[in-house]
Amino acid sequence: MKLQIINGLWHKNPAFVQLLGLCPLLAVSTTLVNGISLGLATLIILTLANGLISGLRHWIPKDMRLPCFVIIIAGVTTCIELLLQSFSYPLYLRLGIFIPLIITNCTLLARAESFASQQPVGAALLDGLIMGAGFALALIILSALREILGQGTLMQGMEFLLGSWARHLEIQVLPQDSAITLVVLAPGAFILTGFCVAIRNWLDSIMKKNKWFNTQ
Amino acid sequence: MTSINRAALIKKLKLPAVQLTGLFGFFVILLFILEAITRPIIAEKKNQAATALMQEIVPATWRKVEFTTLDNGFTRAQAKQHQGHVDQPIYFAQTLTQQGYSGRIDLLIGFQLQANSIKIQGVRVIPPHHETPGLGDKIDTSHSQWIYSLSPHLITTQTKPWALKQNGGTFDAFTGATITPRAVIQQVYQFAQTTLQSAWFRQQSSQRDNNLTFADK
Repeated sequence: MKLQIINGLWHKNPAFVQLLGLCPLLAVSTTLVNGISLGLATLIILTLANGLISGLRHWIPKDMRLPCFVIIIAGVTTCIELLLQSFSYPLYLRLGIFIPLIITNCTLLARAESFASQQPVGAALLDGLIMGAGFALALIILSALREILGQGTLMQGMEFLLGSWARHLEIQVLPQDSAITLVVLAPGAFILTGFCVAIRNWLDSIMKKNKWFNTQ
Repeated sequence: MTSINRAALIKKLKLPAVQLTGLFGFFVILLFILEAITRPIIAEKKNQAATALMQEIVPATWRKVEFTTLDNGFTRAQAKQHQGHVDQPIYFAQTLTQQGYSGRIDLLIGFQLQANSIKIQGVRVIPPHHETPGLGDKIDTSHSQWIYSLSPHLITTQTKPWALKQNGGTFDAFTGATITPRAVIQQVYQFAQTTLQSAWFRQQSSQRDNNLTFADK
């Protein structure tokens, strides 16, 4: 179980190691709030979809399993989108078309194919939770970096997630003039993602060499 | 030989086909139910968004604006000013077009009534819309000033249909998108024409004529 968590967050991180779901990762990570929101949405959808696929695994035909997986993932995503639209309309508008785009996030299809369709419901739910957390972690790190470097702020727009009191949480980490526009655009996101992958690999090699955390 | 293969294939596919259809049917029903439950909530949220947009179109100089919902679904905004000149009320209507690049675009149109014409005071897109980010979404005020160019304009029954400059009209499009702005201006024109020919407009006109004759006395 502990191994699973470490795998999901570090060794097999869906975004920085398996490099799955790069489209939503790059597109949404403009501010920390967007990153947290989409990370949460992906986590919930991944967990539910994994659970549903695992529960229905004996009724999903072997030769037609991919269309079935997509139907289930799309169905769950649409349900979550409707619920989000009813309960947090400003957040829904802010995330826009990226909620339906979670369906194209390869992390969901990959976990469905390689894990959920062969494991019991409990294990599948846990896997969905952990892999979703790994993706959310990658989103949060990248969004925080992009917001600080690209806008100079952190936690701008928190009121869409936590309510109007959260407007005061915004802090200006760097002065507005030092903002790097490239970071706000797609190429900058891609470059920063590359750096994140590189740093993760480098830290991983150090940990292996010094045998910290002694896990494989 | 081929007929035996076909029969075997059909037999092999029968169960998976039923399973696939069953799964599909389950989600159709689930989403149907969920959509029906959330429809009123979402409609309410959308109305709140529309009301906020009305505040944007109403001139900043108006104090103490009173909004009344009329029988035909329009909303009337009237400034409660008691000294001097009282402005013409601004009427708001929600309309929609399906001709957007990605389908439906909801519009809020604010207009004033004049002798035989409608004066468009402001047009806004009611969120959400699904136009392409970076291209079609310039109909939003948060992405470009384009939609401010739709007002103020006067439309009569004689006005030629609104069209983009490249189609022989007078309206600019914006870079990279023509279908989206075309859908918006065509819908505003369509709405104006429908309203000009409606019974409500004739009723409002005759009421105003009556008011004028009384005022003359």
